[in-house]
Amino acid sequence: MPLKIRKFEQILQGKFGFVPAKHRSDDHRWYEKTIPGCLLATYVSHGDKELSSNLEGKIARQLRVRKLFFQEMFTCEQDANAYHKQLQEDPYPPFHVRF
Amino acid sequence: MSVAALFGDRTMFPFWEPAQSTQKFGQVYPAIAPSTSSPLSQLILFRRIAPGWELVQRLVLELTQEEDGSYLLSDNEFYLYGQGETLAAAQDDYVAALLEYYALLADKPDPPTQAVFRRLQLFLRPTSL
Repeated sequence: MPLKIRKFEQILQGKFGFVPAKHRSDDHRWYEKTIPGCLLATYVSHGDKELSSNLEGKIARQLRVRKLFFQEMFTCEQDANAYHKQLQEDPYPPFHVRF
Repeated sequence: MSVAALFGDRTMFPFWEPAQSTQKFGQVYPAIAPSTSSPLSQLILFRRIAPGWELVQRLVLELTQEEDGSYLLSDNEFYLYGQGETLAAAQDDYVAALLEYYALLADKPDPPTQAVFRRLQLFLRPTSL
């Protein structure tokens, strides 16, 4: 079942600690999260109602996780601690720059 | 899906300007050209992409068509995407996201984000109008 955009945004913020980006856009709603050594940023388009399977894959990459893990994040199988652990041990795609 | 079928038989650089191009950013900007290496599912953005902005390196975009017929463009450098009912609309959406990402990164003073920003600046730069 496609993930509803609103649900995605709610979980992204409430469970995984992403915050709305300061800059406002006419086209997208951006969310960001800073963890030691990197900034994670993702966005959805105004007007979209649900994420297609392809779009889930694109956003998963922005969150630096594989698609399956992404899906588990939003079906409550993976929590914030598991996400942070995944980012530290096996970000995918890997970060270009790490500190 | 063949990109060549969408844009006609285009096998040559330089760039082609879609007739319906970019309602948001104007019709005069070279936008999408079929990739000579993989014309079926990849497009290239290069040079002037919006008022006051240019790509100084080619940015290869993967093209996907959704089940509802809409288009999804995405890159493997910065993991941005654009979507739209038409290819031009998807391009507009992608370029908008790229410029927003630039603004987002420019605003952050921390060294890791600035390192990512410097990498983005290897591709995207403001131009003198």
